[in-house]
Amino acid sequence: MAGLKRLADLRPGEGGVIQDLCLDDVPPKLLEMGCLPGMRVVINYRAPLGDPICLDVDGWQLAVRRDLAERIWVQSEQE
Amino acid sequence: MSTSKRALRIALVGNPNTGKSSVFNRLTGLNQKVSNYPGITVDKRSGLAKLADHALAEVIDLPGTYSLHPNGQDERVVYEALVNPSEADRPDVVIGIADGTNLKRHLYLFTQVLDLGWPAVLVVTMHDEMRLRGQSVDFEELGKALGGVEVIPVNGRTGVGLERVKEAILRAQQLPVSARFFQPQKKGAAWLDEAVSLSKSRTAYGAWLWATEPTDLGEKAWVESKGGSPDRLRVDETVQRYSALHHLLKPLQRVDPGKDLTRSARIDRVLTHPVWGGMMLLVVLFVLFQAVFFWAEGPMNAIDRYFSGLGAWAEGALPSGAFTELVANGIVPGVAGVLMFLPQIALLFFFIALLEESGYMARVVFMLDRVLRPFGLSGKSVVPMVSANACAIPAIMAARNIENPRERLLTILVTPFMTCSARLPVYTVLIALVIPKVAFGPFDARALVLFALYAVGFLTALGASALVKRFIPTGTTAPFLLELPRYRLPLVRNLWNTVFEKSRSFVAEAGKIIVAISILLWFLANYGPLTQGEMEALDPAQRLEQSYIGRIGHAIEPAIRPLGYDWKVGIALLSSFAAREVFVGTMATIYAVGTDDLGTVREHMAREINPETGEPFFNLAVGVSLMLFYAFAMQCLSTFAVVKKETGGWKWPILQMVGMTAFAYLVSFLAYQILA
Repeated sequence: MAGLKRLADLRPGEGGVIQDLCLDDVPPKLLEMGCLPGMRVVINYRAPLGDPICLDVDGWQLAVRRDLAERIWVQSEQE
Repeated sequence: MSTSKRALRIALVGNPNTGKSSVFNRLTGLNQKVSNYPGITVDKRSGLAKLADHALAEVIDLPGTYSLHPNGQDERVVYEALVNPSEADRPDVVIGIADGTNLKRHLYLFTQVLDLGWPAVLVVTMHDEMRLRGQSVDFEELGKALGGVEVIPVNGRTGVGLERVKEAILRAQQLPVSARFFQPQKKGAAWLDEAVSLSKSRTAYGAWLWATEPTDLGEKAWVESKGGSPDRLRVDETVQRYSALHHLLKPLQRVDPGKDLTRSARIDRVLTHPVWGGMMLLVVLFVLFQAVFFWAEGPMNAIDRYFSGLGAWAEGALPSGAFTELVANGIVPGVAGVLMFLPQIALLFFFIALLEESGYMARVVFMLDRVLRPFGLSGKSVVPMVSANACAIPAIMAARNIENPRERLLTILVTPFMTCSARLPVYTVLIALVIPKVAFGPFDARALVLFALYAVGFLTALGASALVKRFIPTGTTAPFLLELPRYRLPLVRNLWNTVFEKSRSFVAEAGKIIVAISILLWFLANYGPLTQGEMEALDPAQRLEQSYIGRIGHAIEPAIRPLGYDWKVGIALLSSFAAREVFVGTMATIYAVGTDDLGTVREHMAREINPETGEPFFNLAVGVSLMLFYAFAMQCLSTFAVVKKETGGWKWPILQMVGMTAFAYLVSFLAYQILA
């Protein structure tokens, strides 16, 4: 079942479409770098201690810390 | 052609990791200079490019940024240069650099530039990578869609396409760009007209940027007084601009779906793997240290020998007198003290540049971020901490890359605990003096002590950061957003430019201070309150004792006696403020005077007898106490000066110097009292 999930809870290889972001939680720079609502992101891999997380955004790689990934909600595509 | 009297001025604007510096290096060759932007410490790279016969242009390489809304000091430079330029820095043409594999994100910044009304040329890099990925774009149509901008694919490695860029620059001024990709009128109708007149902007978008820019900490943006939220407005712009770009690019881009886009990600699954990635990191660090310590040894010794020879030659060749003395024993050793470190610093920066250019450094930052965070540091503290093994000065300057002000400050404050190469000669002499040459299994006791000193420096840096972070308010939290660029083969030209530039700035910045202090110390050691005649009547050892520095040494002796030191060591401690390795030279001077033989410093020091005990003065307790003092005390005025410059005030460098030196005193005191 697809559903709303926190980006931080996805496993490597899983992806989803970013839902509306709450501005108080998310820095504008993230959006300026192309992580906008409606954009599909995939978890590429995690750092050895599980944090930060490397995302695939539109064909390039962006690393974010876990606390930020916990505040990004995605529509998970997992079956 | 431009008929203005001054040369055309061109600004390069682009995201980080776009090949912007390759284009800059290609355009300017070695005609580059690095200066500081007034009032701040961000490097300003500029150079001269020959566009055509009789057409020279000044090219300014602006720091890489993702947006004109600044997120830090570096990016603020871009904002100032394009939104708010003083007449003296106003560019005539902007060259936007965009990575062809990520056009949308790169055009985000470029269309901001166009919205400000700048005549511009767009350079698209990485089209070889685009081909690999099966991506293609109609550049001519893209230029039309961008309102008539010339779009030119350039290969930063071969320089193909660069001639076309030069021609396009000369034409660009005649092509006024009128396309607008974001309409601030819709979102800011209530206040935009007022913002235009208040900000004296030439364009509506300039006024929008001015109004929504959250000026420095604490000060509220103007737009808030009008009921707007700068962040909200910034996001409105982002959404609208990306949507415009999406529609603009959709008909022009073609992607072959059969191609593999994930080569870097696959490499990364190995290189950032908990086991393989960690091992790879250790190997890389090992090679780096091996190079910095062993490859640099030969050139360092050669420089040392050359300058000793030069000093001796000057003493013999110039007419004897105070001036010759100053040259031979003040200036020449001072210059040598600076140049000695050049091989290490050049090698270290070569390796750091290699790691950065190849893209691996971003992975090191990525892997270590979580490890360093509990100490209040960031993954981005790695570069300064590695650099500090050569010298704290370039290391502290490298902390500029850390966006979070708190993490940056902590990095600056604890970096001097790392074992810089100036401590190495001190350790070498003292270890040879007090540590017996015994082996524990395969490990040599002396090597173990040296290793322990390095480990202690690093662990103390971490511990100090964890402690100090409690006293520094969290403040604004700048987000940790790190692009992991594609792996690329580094370009020799870029590596060379970086190494040359860093070395030059080290010699210029640290050199000034070290040479000045060496001269001052020479004066203090050769003159005293006595008259010149009285001084000359004394033998050299007494003369030193009667000099200003000898008097100061005596004056501080009561304070350092609990650590096991006498006034002679006190002189060495004080003179080490020029640079720590001056310790060795000072010791050589102090203990050589009065003896005729040409033994080594170590032999002279070993012969020194403690008058109270009749035993050798440099015993284990004194030696260990001294080594620990050198490990922890901030005895480097050059570092002090750099910290003051980078933190913008006296507060942090003073606290740092007092804190580190007090800690060193305490540890050395305990070590001496326990061992003695």
